[in-house]
Amino acid sequence: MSLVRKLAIAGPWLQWAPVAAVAGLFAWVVGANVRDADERVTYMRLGLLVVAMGVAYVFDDPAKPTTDAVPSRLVRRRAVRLLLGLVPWAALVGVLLWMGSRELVVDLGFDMTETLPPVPAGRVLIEAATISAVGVALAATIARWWEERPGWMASAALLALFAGSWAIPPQWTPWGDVFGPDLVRQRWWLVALVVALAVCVAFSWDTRTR
Amino acid sequence: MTATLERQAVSPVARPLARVEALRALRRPLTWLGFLASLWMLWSLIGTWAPVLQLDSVNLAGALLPLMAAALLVTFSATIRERDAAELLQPLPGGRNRRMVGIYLGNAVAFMVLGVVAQVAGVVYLLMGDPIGSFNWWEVAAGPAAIALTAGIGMILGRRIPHPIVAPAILLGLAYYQAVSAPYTGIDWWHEAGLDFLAPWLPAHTFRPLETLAERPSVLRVSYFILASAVLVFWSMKLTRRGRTTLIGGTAALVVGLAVTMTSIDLVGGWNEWQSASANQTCLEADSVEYCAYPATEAWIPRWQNVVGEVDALFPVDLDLVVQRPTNIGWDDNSGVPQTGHVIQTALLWDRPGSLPLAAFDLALPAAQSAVGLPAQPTERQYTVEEIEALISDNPQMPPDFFWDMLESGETTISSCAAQDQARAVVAVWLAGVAVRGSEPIFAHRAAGTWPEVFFPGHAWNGVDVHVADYALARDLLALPAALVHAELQARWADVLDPATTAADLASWFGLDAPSYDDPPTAPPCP
Repeated sequence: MSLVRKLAIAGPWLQWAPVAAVAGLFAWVVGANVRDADERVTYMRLGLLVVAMGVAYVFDDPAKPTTDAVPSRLVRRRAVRLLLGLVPWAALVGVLLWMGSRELVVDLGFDMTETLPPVPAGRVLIEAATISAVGVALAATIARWWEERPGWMASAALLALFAGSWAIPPQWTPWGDVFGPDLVRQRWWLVALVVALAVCVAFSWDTRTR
Repeated sequence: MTATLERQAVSPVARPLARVEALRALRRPLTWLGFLASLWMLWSLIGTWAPVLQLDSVNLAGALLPLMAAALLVTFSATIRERDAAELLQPLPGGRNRRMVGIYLGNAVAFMVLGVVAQVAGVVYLLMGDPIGSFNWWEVAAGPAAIALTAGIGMILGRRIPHPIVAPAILLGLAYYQAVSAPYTGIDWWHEAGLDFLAPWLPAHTFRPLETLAERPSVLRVSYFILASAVLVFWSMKLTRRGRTTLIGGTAALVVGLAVTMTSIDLVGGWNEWQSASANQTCLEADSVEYCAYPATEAWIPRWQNVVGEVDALFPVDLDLVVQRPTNIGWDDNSGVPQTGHVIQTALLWDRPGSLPLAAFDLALPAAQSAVGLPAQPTERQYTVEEIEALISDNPQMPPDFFWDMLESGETTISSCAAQDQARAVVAVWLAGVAVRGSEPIFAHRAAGTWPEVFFPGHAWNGVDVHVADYALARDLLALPAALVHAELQARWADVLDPATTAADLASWFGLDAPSYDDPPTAPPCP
């Protein structure tokens, strides 16, 4: 059996298939079924949230009772799991960004059309990376106390955070205008990304002696 | 004999398991979060305005959307739990199929009961609000029936794709499906294909008369929810070959039935067609004023008459017509509205007893303005170049030529006149305030220059701009004894009717501070 086939069989299809289906739905909406640029960005962010929720499960390790005993550091094992999880993550984020990067002609009614500009991929990518990093950091933190299924709690928390963020007053909301010249919010997204990655590493640092 | 004993042993399995699952579901915080969110949604859908029971029957179903979501997540979680404990549960009598039935019934019934409790609270609240019309119980039943369906979706997902990410991801997809199934979302092909029919909730069409609610396929939708739930539960089971063949046949029949229904029935009835209001209304005449309303809200006419009568009792009104126009397109649908005479356009909404009387005040104010000689309908005129430039600036997504064409083709707009610093405008506001009890908070808001959207009942505007400073003076006037103010105004009625009499003159009659106007009028003065 070839390595590719083994990997294909062992791949976390159950985890990623529904994520891919729903992210694909939002990618289709972003690429073909919106009425204005703001709506396009909103649906793109929803798609990125679903992908982030999917990647939040990468630290779920059903074989943990067995693998815990092997002489391999937790941070290394998690790095491998994260690296593997980043493959479908990158594919899905890429599809979303690609669908958003195309010009879209929308029907305004009254025999008029409008061409929506491409969504700036770089700015959205920062948001995508940060949302996913927060999800992974939450999973790493939760795993310290609940080893079995940290992904479940982390994705639920991510969903709650995302929903709650829309209730924040406009001056404090993390969702900036990706088309505008203001880069302040993007800088904060970058800061959050670095913090989330640091938290992820800190909570994956296994200090136990083997 | 052995088979009979086995049947006796296993038959009670589903019921006690259902009871345990129901209690377990009721202990989940998510369940109560869904219940509270449903109560909140109930309040936002039916809380503010006077009940129209045909419309509110639809809203009673829509309020259960959060419970539908919670039912999906909790049933999914219960099914996964059963799967994870399969080895532990194996020795129990009854087998997995009966356990599936128990899990489904426990969760679905628990959520349906919570849904019915929320709906009963909503029905009681509606009945206490002086309702008109009658309930459509099939529309109400669509809410709990949709809960049964979402619980079924949770079960099949937990059984066939048992990963925790599945339910929240599918829930987001369903949320999108629900969002685009609203009749005013503007995706033509979606509505034309009848895909709205499959959504958990089919909201009422904003642009269509309420009478058309009777055409909604509510019985068919309840049947679809129940049949689809049953099919999903059976697909969650391990069936014999014969059972599986029957299930495939049943599923195919359901799919064909749905396809036929969706393509042959006018589900939302011309979702993008605006029905001409004048062609769908009935009119009554009382005290030489004609009142026109849609048949479903005809019962509000006595309430309108009462408001107009209260103003008329203070100073005689000079009205010809009070006519109802749809909320969203009041500015657009002027079908059948005479261009001359004193006409008031009123909304499809009326105030719930005990709530802020916004609709009553917005009817009383133009009626009072007719009593003091102010125009009671807007002026129709052509756009100016400045207005076109402002439209282009305010609508950057629209091609500028669209607006310039409006100017070249001589398209008209309706505009108001400014009654700023006219005593009669202040008197009209005072009259409306006296005629409508409990309207003081409206004065407070408008005098402060705030007009929160939530307070805007969406009526067609009547053509007179009243300055916030004039609202403030009217508020001060309202604080004086009404009989005293009325007697003074009656004595000076000729001055009140004179457009040259200023608000400062009026203030001096009562020893009040004259209003100050920081900004110039935005429209020509009222004649």
